[in-house]
Amino acid sequence: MMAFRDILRRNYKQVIYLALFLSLAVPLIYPIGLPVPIQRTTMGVYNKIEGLKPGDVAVVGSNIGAAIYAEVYPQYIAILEHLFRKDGVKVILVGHGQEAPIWAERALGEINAYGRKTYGVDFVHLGYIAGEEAAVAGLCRDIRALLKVDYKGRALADLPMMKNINTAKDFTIVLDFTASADSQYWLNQAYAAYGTAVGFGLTAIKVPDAYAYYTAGQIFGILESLSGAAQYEVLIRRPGMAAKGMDAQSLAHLLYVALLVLCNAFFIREWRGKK
Amino acid sequence: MLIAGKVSWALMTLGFSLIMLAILYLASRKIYIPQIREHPGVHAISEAVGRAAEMGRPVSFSPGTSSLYDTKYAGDTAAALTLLSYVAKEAVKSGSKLIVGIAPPTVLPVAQAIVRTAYSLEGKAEEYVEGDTVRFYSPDQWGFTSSYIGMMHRERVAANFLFGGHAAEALILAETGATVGAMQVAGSTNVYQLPMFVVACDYTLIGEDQLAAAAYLSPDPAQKGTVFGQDIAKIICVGLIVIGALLSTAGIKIVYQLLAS
Amino acid sequence: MAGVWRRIASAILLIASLVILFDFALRNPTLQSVATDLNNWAVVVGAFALGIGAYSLILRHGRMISKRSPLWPYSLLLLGTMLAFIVTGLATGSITSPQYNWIYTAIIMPISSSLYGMNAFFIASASYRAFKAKSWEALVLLVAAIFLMFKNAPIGGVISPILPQIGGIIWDFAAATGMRALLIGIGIGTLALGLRVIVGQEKTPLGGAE
Repeated sequence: MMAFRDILRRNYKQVIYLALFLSLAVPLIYPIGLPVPIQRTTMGVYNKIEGLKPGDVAVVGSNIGAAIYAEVYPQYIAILEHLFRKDGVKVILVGHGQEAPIWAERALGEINAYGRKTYGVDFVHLGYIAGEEAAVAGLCRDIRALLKVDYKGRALADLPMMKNINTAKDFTIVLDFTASADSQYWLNQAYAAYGTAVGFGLTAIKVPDAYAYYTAGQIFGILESLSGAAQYEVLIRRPGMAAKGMDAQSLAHLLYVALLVLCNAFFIREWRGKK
Repeated sequence: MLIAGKVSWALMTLGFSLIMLAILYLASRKIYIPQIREHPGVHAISEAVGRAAEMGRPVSFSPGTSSLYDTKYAGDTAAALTLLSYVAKEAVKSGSKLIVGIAPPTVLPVAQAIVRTAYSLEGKAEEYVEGDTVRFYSPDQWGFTSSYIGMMHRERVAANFLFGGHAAEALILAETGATVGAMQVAGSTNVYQLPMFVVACDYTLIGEDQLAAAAYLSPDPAQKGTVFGQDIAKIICVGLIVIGALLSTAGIKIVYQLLAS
Repeated sequence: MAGVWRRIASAILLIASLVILFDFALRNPTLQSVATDLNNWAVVVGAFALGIGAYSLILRHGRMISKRSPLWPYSLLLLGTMLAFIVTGLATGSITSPQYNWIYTAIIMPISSSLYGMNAFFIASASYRAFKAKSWEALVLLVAAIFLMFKNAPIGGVISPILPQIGGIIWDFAAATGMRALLIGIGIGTLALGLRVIVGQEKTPLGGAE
């Protein structure tokens, strides 16, 4: 015990990093198969999309980048898959981050969007719009005043589904996938200004902020990080990278708890020794 | 004329704005300058800079990765630049080398002007090195992070200040500072990153403490007026919450209905 | 002369801000049209602001290369990589082309996700080093953190169903409450800063300094 404590004291970082690496890597290679309980914030998103009717418009905003893709991209895929299963629901993809179009096109490819639905009739990709909140405000006020073409350069006027969609009043729901303050933009510009229903897919660190809006009834649901994505994959019966990652997340959390207990055990022992 | 559902918003915004503008006017005209109590964080800043001078190692400062036009963290960035002015003056007085790392390019000229002025006021304008004292690293969050932590390791900084709008890079910056043995003072209103700062830094200015410290240190009386105006607005919000909660518990939803109108 | 330009900029800022603010609450087609145009101009300015970052990087690292500053080979590598991305994007006409995707997957993805992933390791070492229950308040925070971790990970429910339930209660009644208070403070602070910018008291957005 003394030698272990000395090792921890001198080389604690190396020991901790190795332990964390193993707790993450081993379950990814040898899955445990822990159950994934569904949270009410995830059910909120699921029920909202299940309740969409033909003709409803779902706007999917994103600021996914290479840094956060591991947490948020599985949510994005799961949501798009669910939306594309709904007959008659129109989907508009828009990005407010520079890398967003890359991930949008990847996701559309992964769910075979172009093969199962008609571009311009069932879904449209508007691409990245610079300007942060001003861009979101412009989309909510008057899409055609802001944009003349879609991501691929096709005129919006030539896309059949865009004929009747021009402001946030025409959106049924907005779902935003991000790790930063961008989610606030849709709250300010779509929900506060037009009363459009808004939901989020966020990294774990942003969830406490969004939770205040959820409990106030201002957003209909939150996909909370990788666990939210795993829960959604379970709900739509399409297990993917999120469900595989939950075992690793569980073991890593267990390690964190063990480290906290251990460091306090050593602390109390030293404190008693000094007394 | 007023859109339904926006009446209470309009009234509250107008009310808060009038209060804040009135106090701002009184403070800027020096008719009434509110007293901001001295914040313990200010001592921590001086202590950190003094430590760096004793050890003969540099002081590093990051005013965050948010720009001055950011919706949420522009206030943080503005407060961080006020604190930069103070840190720069203290560093010059104590003879420590100052390195300021900048992420948003729009903050760069402002930071350069602030630091250059601090050096000039102390009579050491020749010690300010263009491109070296204030360094633009990258507008990308992770480009900035890798550059800043590389600088901390190479320069072996003894004091590290992390103010302004930091995002996910906060913990990496703070933990690297702890690794190189720097005394760290941080501050942010970014609630997600505050726990990271609290765990990894020696002193953290939590939330509005950063804005209050900047107002305390700033020679501009309008900043003090702003902090006081915010306090009055918060007192009104607390009053509404308490009255609304009590009335709602008694089944009277008048406050809720008024705020939703 | 600088003072005159700053006054003109402040006046434009004031008028534009009032138009956007009033448009939020008032129903007026003319106001809405003007506000929409102003908003779209802001989007265009935002697009140009992207170029400032690239320009600043090229300037800084170009200087470092020409002066042969320490670590100048890395500056050369940076500019070379930037050029590769720009040329690939322009030549293929899209950032979702297979060629652009290839270099994005090979360079940006591993670097960005590795840096972000470092957070997990640093949280572990920082928590072990610093998260000691030196006071009753710290102990309460520690216990709450443990319950919240069990709420977030499926293993909590496997160990005992009560763990995530307690975590949920702490989440709903403590975390969300504290967050709400901070959000109110941030909102008021943002309003205050906006007012200072509108009336010209805040000089930094207009390029001024202390």
